[in-house]
Amino acid sequence: MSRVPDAATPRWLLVPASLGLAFVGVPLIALLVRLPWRDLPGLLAGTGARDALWLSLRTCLASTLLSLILGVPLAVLLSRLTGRRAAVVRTVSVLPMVLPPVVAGLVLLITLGRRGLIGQYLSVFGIDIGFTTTAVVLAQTFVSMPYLVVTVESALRATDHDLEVVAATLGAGPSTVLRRVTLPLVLPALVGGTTVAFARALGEFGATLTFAGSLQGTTRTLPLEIYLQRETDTNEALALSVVLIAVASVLMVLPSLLGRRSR
Amino acid sequence: MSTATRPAPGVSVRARVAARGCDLRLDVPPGHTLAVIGPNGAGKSTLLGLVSGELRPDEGEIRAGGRTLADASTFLTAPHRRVGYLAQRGLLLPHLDVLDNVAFGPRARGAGRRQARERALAELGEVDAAELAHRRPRELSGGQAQRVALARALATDPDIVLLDEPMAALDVASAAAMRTLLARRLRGRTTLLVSHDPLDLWTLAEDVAVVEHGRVVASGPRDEVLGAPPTPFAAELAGVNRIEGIVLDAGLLRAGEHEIVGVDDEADPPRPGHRALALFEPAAVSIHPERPGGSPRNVWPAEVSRLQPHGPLVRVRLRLADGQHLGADVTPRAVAALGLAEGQPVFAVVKAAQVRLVAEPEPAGPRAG
Repeated sequence: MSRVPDAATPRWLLVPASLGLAFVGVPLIALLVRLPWRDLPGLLAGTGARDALWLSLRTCLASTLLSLILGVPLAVLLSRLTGRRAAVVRTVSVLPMVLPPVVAGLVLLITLGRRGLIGQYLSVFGIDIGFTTTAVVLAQTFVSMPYLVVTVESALRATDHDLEVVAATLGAGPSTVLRRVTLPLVLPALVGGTTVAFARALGEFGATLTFAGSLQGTTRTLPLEIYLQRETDTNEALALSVVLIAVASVLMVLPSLLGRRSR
Repeated sequence: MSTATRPAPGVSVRARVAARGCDLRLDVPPGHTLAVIGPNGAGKSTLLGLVSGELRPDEGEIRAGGRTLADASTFLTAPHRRVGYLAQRGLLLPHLDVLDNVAFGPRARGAGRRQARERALAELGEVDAAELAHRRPRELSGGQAQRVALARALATDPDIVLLDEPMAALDVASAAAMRTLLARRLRGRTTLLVSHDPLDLWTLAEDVAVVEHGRVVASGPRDEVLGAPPTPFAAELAGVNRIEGIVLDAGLLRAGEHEIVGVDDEADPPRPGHRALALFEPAAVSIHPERPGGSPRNVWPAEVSRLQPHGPLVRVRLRLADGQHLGADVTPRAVAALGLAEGQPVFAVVKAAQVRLVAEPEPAGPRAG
């Protein structure tokens, strides 16, 4: 037996679809072709590269953690709001997704920078956030947290509220319901949202450069290092790029692998 | 294994929920199962929500035994009410296996993991589901899931059990098994059961409350309430024909242009000039294409409004000229012989001796006290 090809898929669709795939795929292949594979270990062992890798890893872990701590509660509350209030809160919490990163960096600077709205008072206590590793983490969190919030919120809205009602009649208070019912129900979205947020933090460039600058070992993350090396040492920039792509690919596959195991 | 040490409490509800247009007044005697019947949207779910703690009354009070669950100054939330809830669907938690689903309640109420699982296993045994303990909810059939959900609801020793059409989503065989199980496990527990199935009324309930338009229009012992059904809906569930009329004389009622001849009820005889009900079985009604003559019997012109299967028979719904309905149970052969179809004019015939005439029950108000 062989199935008749889906009548709802016109054949001409194949042409633009293939072009679309090639448009995304060919540049990636070009990178692999162009990459000086033999020099790769040496290129990645340079201090600039090592510092950038290590800094990116640390800051992305920190910002992802911060996104979880702040973003999940925000998603839970957001999923329970209705009407105009929900619209307002959602718009505010999602705005960084559509904001140009350089604008994100700018608003962080005028808020938390040395002379910023809040930063000026922090300076009094000797706390200066601008152009430190903390600034990198905050910039990454600012742009990546909305991805987690949006993913988890839409999953929460799709869950069966009656399960929470039943859990309450069984004696579970609101915190127990959240921990043992609500969050486990949206676990796939939680994992998915977290990886997307991590990946977005890893690629953060504009906001970091604007708010945190580019100091080696302190604020110069992988994307910044790649941009810097691009003009002087193309090979090093390519080597670091392939590392970013590899990490991003693993992050993309991870949730579905975890999902399959728990099934 | 039931270790219920507290005696079953009675439940009393006096509650107004303005947003749903409900003003519900109701009592459930301790240890009784009360069936709540009524059309969709009448307020049955609101009633369960008020007792479970999902809804807060705008006015009134809800009490269970000596405890106030809700009044003007108190409101116990669901986790503090000691209520067991079983819905149409099992609503098992998909990320936990069967054993942990049943152990969820005891755990949430402070039992240790091992103690909770022991209790869960015992409850699963009570519903013949011990062998399902390590399955995931999605691996269960509808009937199995509902048995597990019952075990889960009872594992917390609830004071009050709330059942919201627990058999409605099951196939016939599973529903029958579940009904038997409920009869066994609910004995002596104070229970509110919402159901549309007459069989549930007769096998599970001692008391019946009829809810319509946000009010409890009648409640009390099952045989009393269904013996003189307060609404056409209740009559249909009870499986009897119910025609309202005005008493003309002993044994004689007028309903619109029809006269109904019957036998006055001895316990609750109708009084001339007052409203009364004529009650008779659908099996006592025969259908004729022409007006028959002869012995003292009721002959009413009517119109066929609906035909539906009723066991091996066909229940023919007939509409009288004044808009009231009655049902007649006839064989499929008779339906074919008479050529019955919707809209067809016929004559409904009932022997006077088969018709019981009772005074129309007073609408249930708040009971004194």
